[in-house]
Formats: sequence, C-alpha cells, structure tokens
Amino acid sequence: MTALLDIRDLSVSFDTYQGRARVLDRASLTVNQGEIMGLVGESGCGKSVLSRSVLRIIPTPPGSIDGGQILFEGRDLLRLPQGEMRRLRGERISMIFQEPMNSLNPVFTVGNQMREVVRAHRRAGRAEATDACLEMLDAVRLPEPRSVLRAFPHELSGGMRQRVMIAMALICNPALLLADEPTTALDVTVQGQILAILAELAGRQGLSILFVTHDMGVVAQLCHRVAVMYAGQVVEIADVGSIFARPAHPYTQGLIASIPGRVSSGELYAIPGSVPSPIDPPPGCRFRPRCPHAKSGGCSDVAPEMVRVAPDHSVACHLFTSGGLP
Amino acid sequence: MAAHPFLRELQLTLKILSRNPSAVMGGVVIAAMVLLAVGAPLLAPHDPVKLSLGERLMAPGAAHYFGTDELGRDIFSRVLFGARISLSIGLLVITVAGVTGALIGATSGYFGGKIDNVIMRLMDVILSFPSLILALALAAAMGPSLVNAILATAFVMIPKFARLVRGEALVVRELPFVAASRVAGAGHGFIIRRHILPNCLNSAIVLATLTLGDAILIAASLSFIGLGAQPPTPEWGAMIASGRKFLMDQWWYATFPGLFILFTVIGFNIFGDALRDVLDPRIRR
Repeated sequence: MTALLDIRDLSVSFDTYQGRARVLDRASLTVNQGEIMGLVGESGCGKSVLSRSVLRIIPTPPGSIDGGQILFEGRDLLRLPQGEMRRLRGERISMIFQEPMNSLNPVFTVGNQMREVVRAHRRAGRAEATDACLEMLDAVRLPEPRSVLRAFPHELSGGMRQRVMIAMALICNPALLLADEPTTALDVTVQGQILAILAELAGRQGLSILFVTHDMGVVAQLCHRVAVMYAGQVVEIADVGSIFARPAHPYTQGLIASIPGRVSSGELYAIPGSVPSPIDPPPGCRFRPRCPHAKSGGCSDVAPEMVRVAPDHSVACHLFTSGGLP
Repeated sequence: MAAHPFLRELQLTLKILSRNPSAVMGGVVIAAMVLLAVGAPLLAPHDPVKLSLGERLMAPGAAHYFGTDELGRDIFSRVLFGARISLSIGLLVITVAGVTGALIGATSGYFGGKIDNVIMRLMDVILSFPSLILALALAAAMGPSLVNAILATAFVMIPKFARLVRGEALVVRELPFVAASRVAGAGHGFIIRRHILPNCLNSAIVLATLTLGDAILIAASLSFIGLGAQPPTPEWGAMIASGRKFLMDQWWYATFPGLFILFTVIGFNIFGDALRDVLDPRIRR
C-alpha cells in the first residue's frame, strides 16, 4: 500500500496570554490509500489541530505551524500556494465536523448549498449539479432526496444534516476525508448508521479517511489502523487488532482499560492525574507523571523515540527502547 | 405541491406581522404614504408648481384642502408630490448607506484583527459627530443640491450599518458552516457574500426600517436650511422653511408638510420596532 497522506514531524503552536502552547510536537503519521485511520486521544491532545492543519485552516495568528511536512500525493501541503491549496480543498481533501447543527448555512436551502459546491469545482449546469446532488444524497441513504434538496437546514434532524454534510464532502470524489468527531453529537443508533455509510463509501470509492475520535468503540468498529495521541505527540500506531489485543504504550493500555463494560464488575478504571499543560510540558516522556511504570532517571530525562515492536506496530515508550529502561 | 421555500418564509413573516398591532399600525401609515406618493398625479387636484397669484395664502377649504402658499400654489398637491420626494430620498439614503455599511461591516468583522481595528476606528470618527451637524457640513461643502443632500445623509448613516453588521459578522464567522465552506474550497470574498452577509440581513433590514425615518428627517432638515431640495421642488422641509415666515397668520402653510413628516417618521419607527420583534428567530416558531 502507498501512503496517500504522510505527516512528518508536524509541530504547531498557539500564542496564548500564558505563553506559547506547543499543541503538536513532532507528530507523525501516515494514511494509506483506501485506509480508514483512527486518531484517538483525550480532549486537548491535539487531534483536531492535526486534522485541521492538513487543510491549513488553523487561524494564524494566534496559531503557527512551526515545522514538519504534510505530504499529500507526494506534494508538501505546507508549501503549496494559497490558490492551489484552495483548489485542493473540497476536491481532493474534504472535511466533516462534529457539529451537524450549524454546519449548513441556515438561510439557504440544502440544494442551493450542495449545488454551489459542485459548481465551484467543476463546470456543471444547474440540472447536472442537481443530478449529482441527488445521486450523492442517495448514496448516504437519505430518503426522498428531492425534498431534502428543497428543505432548509432547520427542517432536517441532526443525523440527516450530518448525512448531507457527508454527501457534500464527498460529492467531488475526494481522495481523503478528514472526519473530526463526526458522530459525537449524534445518538448511538444514528452514529451506527453514519459509520456504516462511511465504511461503505470508503470501500466503494477507494476513499481514505482520517477519523478523529475519542471513542474506542467507534475505532474498533470502523478503523483499519489507529494512531494514539497524548499531549501533542503520537505515542503509538498500530493496526486495530494489535491495539486492542496487545496495547504497548501504558497510556493506550489505560485508554482501553477505561472503556465501560470491558471489566465485568467493580469500578470503572480511570487513568490517574490529568493532561499536562501544553505551555509547560514535563521533560522527558510526557506521560511519565501519570505512568504506572515510570522510573526516575530515564523517563524524566529523555523523550522516548518511536520504535517498531511488530511489523505494523510502533510505540514511543522507554519500556521498548533498546535495552529497556535506561 | 409545496410553494417555493422563499415564498413560504415570506408568507409566514407576513402572517406573524399581521398579528402584531404596532406592525399593522406602522404598516398602514407607510402604505398610505406610499399610495399617496405613487398616486400623486391622479390624486392631486392642482399642479404642484403652477403659480396662481390671485389665490395667494388662502385658508383650507373646498377648493384647496390644505390652503395655498404665498405664490398661490395648492399645498395639498404639493404635500402629495412631496411624499414622492421624501420617500425616494429615504429609500435612496438607506440603500446607499445600507449596502456600503453592510459591506464595510461584514469585511471588517470577517477578517478581524488589524483590518477590523482600522475600519472600525474610522467609523468611530464619523460616529463621534452628531449626524445632523456632520451631514450639514458635508452638504454645505459639496454645495446645495438634492443629490448632495442625499449623499451627505447616506454618509453619516454608514457607520450605523457597519457597526451592526460587523457585530453579527463576528458571530457568524465562527459558525461551523463558514469553516465547512472553507474546507470545501471557498475563498474569502465568496464566504462574505454567501455566508456572512445573508446571515446579517435580518438585523440590517430592521435597522434600515428604523433609520428610514431618521434619513427622511435629516434630509428634510437639510432642505429646511436650504442645503437640499431647491425651489420650486415641493419638498416637505423646504416648504416648512418658507412657511415659517407665515406661521403666525397662515398656520396651514408650514403645519401640513410638518404633519406629514411626523406621520412618516413615526410610521417607519413603529414598523421597524415591530419588525425587529417578528424577525427574532426565538419567537418565530
């Protein structure tokens, strides 16, 4: 498989009143052709910033991309001129967001907005654009696509709106879809339907998805591979089977242990402590203050590098660096 | 078959408006003024600019409902034709000021930062003058004519629209559909035109109705001082100015144009207020 999206050592920071916050610190990951890549981590770990950086929609200032590369189809997106970047958005890379409630402009009909997207990217007459919209609405299994096109956003339910958003995102047949917690605001049954639609479309159109979520259940259901983020760093990448069967990083182990219902009885496990501040992160391994295996010395002095522990399984933890703990 | 969505919304707005007493009252006054203005050539019994020196300063009566002025012109006819002038002045001023102000405000609010700061401080400079005084100075500098009076009035109204729309734009630009549009490849100009401006329209319309009265008043004031409409144009403000000299003995000369200004301005203010309530999305459904 070839890498469609290859993010290398991406660092992003934001200026705040308390100082400069390094929200992404040399984060690297790849998304292969036709693959659904999960990106998990708790709130504030930088997973949304990572997905937004790909499309360069981080507000600058206060944000700034300090270093790294984002290679998409071989081109570095960070060095692309504005005009080309704009052409890429929506056409080769699309994005869907968490809030389906406000993702559509309330003053125009759905059809009006969908046709606009089609016609922004290719020459199409009104009728032709309408046909494309109907076809796409059908693909996301919205009943009565014609009346959906005529409806205003407030006349649709949250699930319907998110389906419209997916249809809009995929209407130009992009190679990559960035999904930033698209099912978080929806109830579980609707969430299941949306995931099924995404999986089906990915399989049929050869679409790659970078799926940002904090829900390990969703990851297990949908993704092929998973990247786990902690405090702005990618700490573990593996195929979905290995992540659940043999989680290597203590943080990943903690995440999996805290999924409700996996332990039959007793109190739900929670990782002790809280996420470190991105303004003044702890030296060495950022997870050390919360890690049950932390040793004084090595863990607090040297930041662990990514090491491969299995063919498709890498982790950044001193438990696995050569020779074990220093 | 369902009606076009826009018509459906319009129908709903009208329905809610018709249940609001002040909207109905304001609406009736405005509608009456518009009817009088449009039908002036049919309704006016006399030519508004024809001199008839034999009938100077006649009291209101069957021949001249509102009496005549010092040159024997029929005041009722002049007031009717004056409605055409005042209403079109008001509309022109609001259109020019509204469109310019909304564009300035939307741009300012959407980009934010330095651009916003510079633009809004400029608007503050304009706002720091009392609007009538500034309009007066501008009109005097440009020379007395109706067009100049309209431009001067429009200019002093721009910051009101700019500020209002900027405030709304600051809210709208953070909404997810703006981000969604950007990731779909939209440029800044497109987003301002398609997403920011339409979502600020509600409050801009309310402000337009509310300030239409003010615009008419300022333009009439300019004409009153002689900086606006020039004789023999039957403009309300100009009529009051010339009627002022006769106020002691011929009360009708200045009173009727004055009453028409009063009703028009009150009509627009009441209607604007009601419209604000009706367009509030919280009570809409």
